[in-house]
Amino acid sequence: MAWVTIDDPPRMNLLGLILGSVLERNLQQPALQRRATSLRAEVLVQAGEMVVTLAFEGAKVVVRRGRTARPKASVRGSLGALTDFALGGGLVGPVLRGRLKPRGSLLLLLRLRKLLQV
Amino acid sequence: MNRERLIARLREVLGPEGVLTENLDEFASDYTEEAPRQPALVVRPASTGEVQALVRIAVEEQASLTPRVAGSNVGGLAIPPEGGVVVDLRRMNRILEVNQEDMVALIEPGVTWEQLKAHLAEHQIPLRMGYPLSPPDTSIVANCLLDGLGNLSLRYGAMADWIGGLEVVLPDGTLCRTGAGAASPIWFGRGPLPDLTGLFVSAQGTTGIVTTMAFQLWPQPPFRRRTFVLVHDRNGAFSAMRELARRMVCDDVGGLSWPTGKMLFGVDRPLERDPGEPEFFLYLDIGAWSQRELTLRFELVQEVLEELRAGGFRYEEPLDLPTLLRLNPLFAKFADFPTRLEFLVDAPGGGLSWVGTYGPMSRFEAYGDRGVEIMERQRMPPIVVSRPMKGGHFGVMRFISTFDKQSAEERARVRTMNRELVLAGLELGFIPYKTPPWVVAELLGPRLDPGFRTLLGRVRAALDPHGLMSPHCWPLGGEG
Repeated sequence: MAWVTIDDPPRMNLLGLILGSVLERNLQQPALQRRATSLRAEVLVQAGEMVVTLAFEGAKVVVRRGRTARPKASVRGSLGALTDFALGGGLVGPVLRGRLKPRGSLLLLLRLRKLLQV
Repeated sequence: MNRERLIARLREVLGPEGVLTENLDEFASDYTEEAPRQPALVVRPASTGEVQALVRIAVEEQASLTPRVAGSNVGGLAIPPEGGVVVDLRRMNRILEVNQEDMVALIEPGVTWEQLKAHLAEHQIPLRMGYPLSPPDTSIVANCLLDGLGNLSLRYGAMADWIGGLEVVLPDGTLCRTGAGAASPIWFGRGPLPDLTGLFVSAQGTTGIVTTMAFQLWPQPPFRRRTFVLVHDRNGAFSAMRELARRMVCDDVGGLSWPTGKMLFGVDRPLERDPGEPEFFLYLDIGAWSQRELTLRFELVQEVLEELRAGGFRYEEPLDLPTLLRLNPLFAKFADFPTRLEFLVDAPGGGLSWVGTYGPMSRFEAYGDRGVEIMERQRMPPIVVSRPMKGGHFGVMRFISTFDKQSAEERARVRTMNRELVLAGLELGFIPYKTPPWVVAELLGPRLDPGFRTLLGRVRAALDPHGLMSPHCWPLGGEG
C-alpha cells in the first residue's frame, strides 16, 4: 500500500517532495511502518523558508505544505542541517550549535529521525 | 519526381533493405508541436559509397533529401518536406578509429553517445567527451553539426567547436574532406586550411551529407566532485554562473529552474513555486588531477559564493551528489552521462518543445524575466535551463515545455508561446540554435544582415543548385 500521500502535488514545495520520497522508501520496512503507525501526531519541518507538516494518521502519512495550527513538535534549520539530520547526524550537537532549532516534543522528533534516516 | 522509378533505382544500389516505402510514421514527426509531414520513402545507406550513389540518383530524379539519425530533434529539422525522401543514417554507425595520442575519434553519423562511451570504456581509453542532455541513443555527429551544447561546453565551447574535420558527400555526389584531414593523415583540427567545415555547421543538411566526422576528445581527470547549490532567485544563479565561468574553476556549471526539481520527483506539471522555495539549482562539476587540486577548486567555488552572498544573493550550502543520491536515488539521473531525463522526454502527453538560444550573458537577467513572464502567462511551468559557454563568452538560455501532443489547443498554445520567447530573445540579442524552419521564416530571417542572407543564399545555390538538400531548412527564399 502507499503509505505516504502528498497533498496537492502540483503545489508542493521541494522540501515536502524530498521528505515524502524518503518516507515512502523507508516505510517499506515493517519495523518503521509500526513506528509510524504509533506516532499519531503532526510535526512541522522548516528548511529555510520552506515549511511542511507531516501528519501521521495511523496507517498513512500526509505531507502538507505550510503549517498547521497545533503541531506537537517542530524542527527548523537550513536545508543542509536538515539533510545532515536525515543522513544520521545527531540531534543534540546541531541543536547546541544552533543549526537545528527544535520545539515541542523532543521525544517525537527523535522518533521522527528514525523514520527519516537514509 | 517519379516515385516508382526512384524506388527501383535506389533499390538497385541500396538493396531491398535499404529502401523503406511503408510504415513511415516514425519519420513524419518529432517531439515538438510541429505538424507531421509524410515522407515518400526512406533510404538507409550503409556506406559512404551508397550515400554518393543515392545522392546522384536523387539529383537525376529531382527528389529532395533530408538526413536524419535518431529523429529526436526538437525543431522539425529532420521531418522532410511532404513527399520528400528521408536519409536514415543509423546503419552508418562505425567507430572508424580512436586516436588516443591525438585525442580524436573518427566516427560515422549513426554513432551514438552511449556507443562511443562504451567503446572508450571497453578499450580502456582514458579520454572523455562532452555529453548533451539528449538521450544516450542520439547521434554525436548530428549534435555537433547542429552546434548543440554539452557538459564540457564551459571549457571547450559549443559542440561545433569539437569537430576536427569532416568527410562530406556534396549535393552532386562529390566526396570531400574538410579540416586537417584534407591534407594530413591525422585529423587534428579545423585549420590551418580555409575552414570549409563551417559550410556544414548549422547548415541543417542543406549543403551536403556528412559521412565521417573527426570528434575531439579530452583527458579524463581522475578526481571529480559534483555538487548542487540551491539559489533563492534566478539572478543569483546567473551571477554565480558568470563568476564561476570567468574563473574557470569548474568543468561544468549549469542552472535549472524550480519546476525541474519537482518533475524529477514525479510531479508532471508543477503549477506554483512556494515563495520560500529556491528558484534555481546550480549544478557544478569539478574535475582535478589530484585531491589537493580538487579541494582547492571547491574552496574557490565557496569563495565565489561567499562574495556573492556579501552582495545580497542567497545560496544554500552545496549538496554533493552522493548526499542527494542517499536522499533520493532519482538523482542518479545527474550522476552520469549520457542520461535520459524521462521526466522531460517521456512526459505525459508525449510533447516536448523548447526555445534554445545562445546569447550574451550580460543579458541573462533580462531574458530570464521576459521568458518566465511569457511561460507563466501561457500557464506553463517556467522550465529554464541555462549555462555559461566557452569560459563565459556567451551562454545558453533555454525554455522548455512539455505538453499533450494530441491536444490541438496545447500545440497551438506552445507555438504561440515559443514565438513570443524567440521574439523576446531576438530583441535582446539571443539567437536560436538548431533553428527551426518556422523561426527562420517568420522571425530570424527578416532580422538577418542583408549581406549575410545574400552570401548564405549564394553558398547554398553554388553547392545545391537544384535545391534538393533539406529544402525545408533555412527557408530564406531567393538568393538568401
